[in-house]
Amino acid sequence: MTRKVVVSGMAAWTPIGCGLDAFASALAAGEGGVAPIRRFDTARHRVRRAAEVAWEKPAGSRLSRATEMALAVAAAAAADAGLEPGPRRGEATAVILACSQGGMAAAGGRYRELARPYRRGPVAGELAARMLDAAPSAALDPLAAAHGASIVVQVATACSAGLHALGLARDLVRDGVVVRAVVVGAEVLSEFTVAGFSVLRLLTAGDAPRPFAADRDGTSLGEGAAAMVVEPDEAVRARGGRAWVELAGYGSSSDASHMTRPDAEGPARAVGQALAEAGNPAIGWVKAHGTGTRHNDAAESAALHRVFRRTAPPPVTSLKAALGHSLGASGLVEAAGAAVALRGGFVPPVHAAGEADPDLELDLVAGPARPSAAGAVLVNAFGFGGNNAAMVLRAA
Amino acid sequence: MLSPTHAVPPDQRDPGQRVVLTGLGAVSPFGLGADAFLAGVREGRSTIAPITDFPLDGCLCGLGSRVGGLDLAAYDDGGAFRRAPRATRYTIAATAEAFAQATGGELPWQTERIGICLGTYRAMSEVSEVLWTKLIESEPRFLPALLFQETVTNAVASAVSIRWGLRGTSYAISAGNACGHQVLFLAAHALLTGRADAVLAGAFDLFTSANHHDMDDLGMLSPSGASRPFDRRRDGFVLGEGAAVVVVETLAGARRRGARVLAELAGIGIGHDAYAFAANHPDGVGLAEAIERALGAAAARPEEIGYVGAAANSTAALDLAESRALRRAFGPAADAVPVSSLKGATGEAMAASDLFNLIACVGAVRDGRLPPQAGTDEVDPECGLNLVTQATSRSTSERALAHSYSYFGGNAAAVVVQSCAG
Repeated sequence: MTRKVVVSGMAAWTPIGCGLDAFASALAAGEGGVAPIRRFDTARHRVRRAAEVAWEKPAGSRLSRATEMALAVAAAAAADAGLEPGPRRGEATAVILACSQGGMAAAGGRYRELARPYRRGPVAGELAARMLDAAPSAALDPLAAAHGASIVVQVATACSAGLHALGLARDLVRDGVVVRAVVVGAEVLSEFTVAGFSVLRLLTAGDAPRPFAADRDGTSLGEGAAAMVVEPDEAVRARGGRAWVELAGYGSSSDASHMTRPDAEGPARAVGQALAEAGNPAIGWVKAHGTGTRHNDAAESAALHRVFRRTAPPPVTSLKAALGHSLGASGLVEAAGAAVALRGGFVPPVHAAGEADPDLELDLVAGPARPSAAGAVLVNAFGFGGNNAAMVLRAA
Repeated sequence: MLSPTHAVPPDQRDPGQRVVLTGLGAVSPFGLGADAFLAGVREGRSTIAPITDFPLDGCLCGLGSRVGGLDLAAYDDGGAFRRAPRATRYTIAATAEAFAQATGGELPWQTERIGICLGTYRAMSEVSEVLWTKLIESEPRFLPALLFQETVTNAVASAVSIRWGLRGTSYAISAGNACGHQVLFLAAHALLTGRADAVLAGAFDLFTSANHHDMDDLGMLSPSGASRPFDRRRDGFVLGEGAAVVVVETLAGARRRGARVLAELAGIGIGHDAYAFAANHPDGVGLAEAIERALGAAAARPEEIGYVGAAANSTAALDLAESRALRRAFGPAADAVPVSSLKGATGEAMAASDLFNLIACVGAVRDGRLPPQAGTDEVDPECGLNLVTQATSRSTSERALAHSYSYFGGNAAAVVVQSCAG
């Protein structure tokens, strides 16, 4: 009998609301967070809209905004789980950070310095220290110090990192390797990434992505941070805690075919694994990866049809129209969204949904939110390079 | 082999619960191949040399240990290989070597049962440096698209999975500048929980001009240009680089397909100083914990370890913290166990150094030859370890311990490598 693993604490800061209550209300109301970019000057950029989070790092902090967000959201999730702050030596615990931009986002300042030859030479410690912080996993050490973790790892499998990190946490807790895991995802907006996605022609020319729509033409980038505390259900009950959802099944696979173009087979395998591990429960709805690009949505629909070939696929929604694509954090932020919706008994609609593409033959959830008594939902995340993750969340 | 509680000695475990290595591959400053690497470190040769391919104005340290002058034509598939970043090309070369050794040709496992797990610190900074420079000097629309997709940390894992058709579970991780052993931990966990039948596990780290300037500006690099771990006069490290991978499977799986086993991963332990941002715990408590967990998981006593592949990188803080960690975990046996840090020869190659340590430990238990401590002349009495010299470089021990310990943080891991007649 395998150990039941649950999420005992959660926190999320999103473009449509910081804090789970605000997030849940905004999801239910179908609100959207893609707007004109304010964080950097967009004059030279073709794409000028993204979804930003209204959160600033503490004044005077030497750490990057992404690192501060990760630390703060992790602390909020630990508090939500009712855990005492501070390290506990002797217990094996894990901190798993999901972030794919890592240091690249914050590195611009440093590269600008290095690009000016007359400015080379010993640079003020301040600036160099910030470059240190720009290393991909700099947030891990303060997270480890704050939560007393021994296994501390950043999962960087691009757009699926958030869900891969959650899956890894689930595996480690399920197998008794650790007694608890704190999973954190945090991504901020960077002109580096905006420029890159733009030249790859992955960004929509419209106001926001239109996942699974007939006229979909790309995604939008977004910021986001979320954290979840993952524990065995019995441990949570023993201390009188509360479980948000059960992490009932997890699947992970690789396409092994193309760096940026997904196929249907790899995602289908990941979804199949997750469903099988969860004991093939009835799935109430699917929180798709649903970026709104022509390729992802086509491949993802094909994958869903392949897996749910005996019945039609369940109703499908995507949170990226509302939240933008928060890359490494998206898997976790959107899983948090799915969890609050599951608990709240509703299917969050696709914000400003376009007309569903009839070729995909999906029941696309457009506004308003649908009431749902689902006991289990499927959450997908597929990344650059063909990394696929899928998770079944079950009402705890 | 991951849990120190109730650990059963490896030779009494079910072969399906024993984790072994069947292939190694390395690209290092010594050149192509694990053999070239082992020969170089065993001779005590240093690869640290003056840097000539980027300007060093303002830098106090002008030396580094670079991978270069390699003929990679054999790996050219006529496609993207030639244009691929160094990290990708080197990891592909190391992978080809490891798979060739493990399988002699065709991969015998179902492709969706082969996992890949790669770790790195610097990730794709060689590519993001080019792109940021383009962004700063030019217009966003001139960013080369095909290069942007190489900036993600998992770009190398994806390239390897595409080249060999590896469709199983995939992890690309980072955990500070030392995560090569975390990678082994995840690989072993995937095997033991049935998520994969074989895992390609490894690490890569390359350094760029910007990386070198950063470390120099932070005062981390040696102004005297010397990499001398545990030396009284140590004053900083020298950057190194490379890529190394291993093929990991269960002993049962290896036996079933008649594979030759190189060595066993008898126990892996992970720890973290959890001390402060950008600082090691002065007593190396995270590493001590990792060593204790590894020994416990391997059911091995400190006295049974014949060689320690240290993480020391010629910095005041880390070398001392490591020696204290070893004392804490080994007790009196810490005075006698032969120790050396390869970073005297290779410089600080970050995540790749962890795999270099592993390869040296595999070599140690297979043919009893230990790498002598390069670069070090006056051993710091405060560290006080039994550093390997050419004269003491022969060993009959069946067990070796590889350390991984990050500077600037406290991420630590230890792996007990055991010779395996199986």
